[in-house]
Amino acid sequence: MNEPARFTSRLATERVDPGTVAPAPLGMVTHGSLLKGLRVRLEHGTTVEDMRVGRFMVIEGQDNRFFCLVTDMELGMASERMLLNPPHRTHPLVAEMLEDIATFGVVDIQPMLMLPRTGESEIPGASTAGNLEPVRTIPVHFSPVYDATQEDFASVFGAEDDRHFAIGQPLNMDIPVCLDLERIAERSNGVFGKSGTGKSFLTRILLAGVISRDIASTLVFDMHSEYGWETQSEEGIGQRKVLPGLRRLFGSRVHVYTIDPESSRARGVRVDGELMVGLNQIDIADIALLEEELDLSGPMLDTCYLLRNVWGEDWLRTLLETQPPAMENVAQQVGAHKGSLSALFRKLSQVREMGFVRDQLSDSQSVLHEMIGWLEKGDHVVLEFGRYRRPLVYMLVANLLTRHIHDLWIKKTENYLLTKKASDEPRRLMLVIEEAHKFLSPRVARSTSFGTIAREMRKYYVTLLVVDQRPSGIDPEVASQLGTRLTALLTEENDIKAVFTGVSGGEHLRGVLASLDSKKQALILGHAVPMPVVVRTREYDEAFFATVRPPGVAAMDLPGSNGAPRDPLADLFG
Amino acid sequence: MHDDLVAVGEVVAVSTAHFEAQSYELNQSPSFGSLVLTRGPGGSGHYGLCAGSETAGIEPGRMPIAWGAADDDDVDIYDRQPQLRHVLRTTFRCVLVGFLGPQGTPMQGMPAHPPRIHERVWQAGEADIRDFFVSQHYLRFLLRADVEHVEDLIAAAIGHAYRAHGGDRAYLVGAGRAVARLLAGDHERLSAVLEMLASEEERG
Repeated sequence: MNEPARFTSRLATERVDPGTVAPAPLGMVTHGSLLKGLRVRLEHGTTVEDMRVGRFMVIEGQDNRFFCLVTDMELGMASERMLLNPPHRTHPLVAEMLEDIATFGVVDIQPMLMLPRTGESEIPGASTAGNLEPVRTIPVHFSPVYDATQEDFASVFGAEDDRHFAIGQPLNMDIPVCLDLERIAERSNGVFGKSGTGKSFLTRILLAGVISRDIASTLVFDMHSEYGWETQSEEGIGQRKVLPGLRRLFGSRVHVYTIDPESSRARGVRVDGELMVGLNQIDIADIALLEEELDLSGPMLDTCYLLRNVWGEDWLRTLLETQPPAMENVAQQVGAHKGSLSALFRKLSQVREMGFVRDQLSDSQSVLHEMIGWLEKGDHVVLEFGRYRRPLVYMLVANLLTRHIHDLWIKKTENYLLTKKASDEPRRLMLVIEEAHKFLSPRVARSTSFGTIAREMRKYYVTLLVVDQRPSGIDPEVASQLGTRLTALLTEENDIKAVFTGVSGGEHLRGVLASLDSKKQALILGHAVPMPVVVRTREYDEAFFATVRPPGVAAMDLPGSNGAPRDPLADLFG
Repeated sequence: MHDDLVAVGEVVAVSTAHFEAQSYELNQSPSFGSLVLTRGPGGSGHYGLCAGSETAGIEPGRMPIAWGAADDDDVDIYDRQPQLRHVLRTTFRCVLVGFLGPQGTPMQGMPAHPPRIHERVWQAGEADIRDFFVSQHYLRFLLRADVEHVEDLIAAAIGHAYRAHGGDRAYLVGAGRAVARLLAGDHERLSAVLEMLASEEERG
């Protein structure tokens, strides 16, 4: 069979169902390389204005089908001289004759996955996800390029099931794009985007997926008190609606705690408990994390260690109860410099003034262990910060809690490795932190529990879900370990660069990221999706609630109702 | 080939890619760029595009001279000097662009043999033009045929075909796009052809 005949017969067998008209190719591959991507010249009838950056395309190569993303486009022309005498000025007919010949649209596309053609065994509609391979070759010259069809999306992104969760829809089609939640839970992940681009909604949708499929326990450090009971939609002023939070969607499987009961009362939110922190529970590691927030110097941190050596676990309380005139004696007693001791005293006094901090708290008085208990059991916890929105408080509390979790989960994992009993296997846990760049900045990421978790704790069943608007502030070593990134619009060059840290071929996708809509669109890339994809994120509305809400919770939770479920803890702490 | 055609001349010189014919009527030749055809024995036939014409004395070296005067009245010079019709002749040059195929269908391309001397030359009718210009492949060898004013020739040929197609704009655009593909790298020549085609459209 000669080459053109083979070509057409291939098209005929591959793309045409009986009774339907063959879709015309949008263009053909003319240039390209595996590393730099492919150039596609658009066919007559398709202009660059029909294309969108981030669109999902399919190339029918000779032996493989390639799934690709549009990354850039360009106006091409056969002769530069044309610029001196543009045809549109002379005659519309001339322009029409020259269209796509002397001038033409060029689209850059990046192949992401390939599907070898297995010939006879390929059954239309059958799942092909298992055969998808990373791209290791490129299509032959003049391979036709098509818009992805619904079947193409389905074969790459699968359908919803126990582990696949629809996070949104492609830009130009109404079919689901699914995340593999098992893979989400395997590694730390990030949700990024500028302020107001829908990060929290995206996070909430993702968490709802994780909770509804019972993939992992989640602990949300809820800086703006918007995950637990309810939140406001993001329409303009006056049109905002109250939308249910995780507690309202999942009932008593989600426990809401607060460090600011007054704020909860004022908002009419019933919490399951009030978290208080004893000065005796605060470790030097927690203080070290606040180095920047409290403006602590190295010698001051050294002084902390000296104090602890002398006074033991109660060092912080003892220091804060010391009267300023006695400071010189203390300095002599512990061998510290008086100036840095006084400065430390002044700065740490702020901690004592926080409403939820107590001088002394025994384990039985603290709800900390109760919260961790829920997580071990497989439930979910949201910790609201109420009015304590300062990074200082958020970081102190989050680190303290995480430190305990970190230690406990390591113990549990080691025990499991010893006994190898299925019942001893620790529950997977996902920690959700906002303003993550403060915990994971290069300065502190190496010393905090968050840094450790992001780097290696997946072996110990704990992962992070990092929610941030400044990914460039995150330590590159940590950023490169993030498995899946869900990214709403970012415009700052460094932030865009940071999102693609550790992603091969990431530079091609920069344009895609910068061209997202400012709301309800996200680029998803990494471990949980077979290839990067731009989605319109799912609506957080009744239809969504109905798909994730467990049976039996539905009745109580229409937005606006204050009916809280009765459970034993509500009786204790409500 | 359709039979209601009028012979306009007779082949007087041939080469592989061209032929020259003498008009039966002095000063009458097929218009520039129009399709002409010849018929040979055994159903053979050739298609040519008229690429230029010339009127000169029948004897080489004997130049025509002016016969009139400044204060002549408007009587035709050829009526006053009837011998002129016998000492002058009109010839036209044609580029071979196709031939009659085995089933009598027109084929674009270089014929295996040129027409014979003294074969008659007909001006193609509209039906013949439509049959011949179904594709634009002829442009490819027209460009290589080494004729003067080839851009004008292409534009004129497409213009004839366009009118034979009843002024179908889609045909004109299709032909223009074929030219654009061939001349994409040479914007000046391409623009020249396309602007001529645009004025064809304006003329209708």
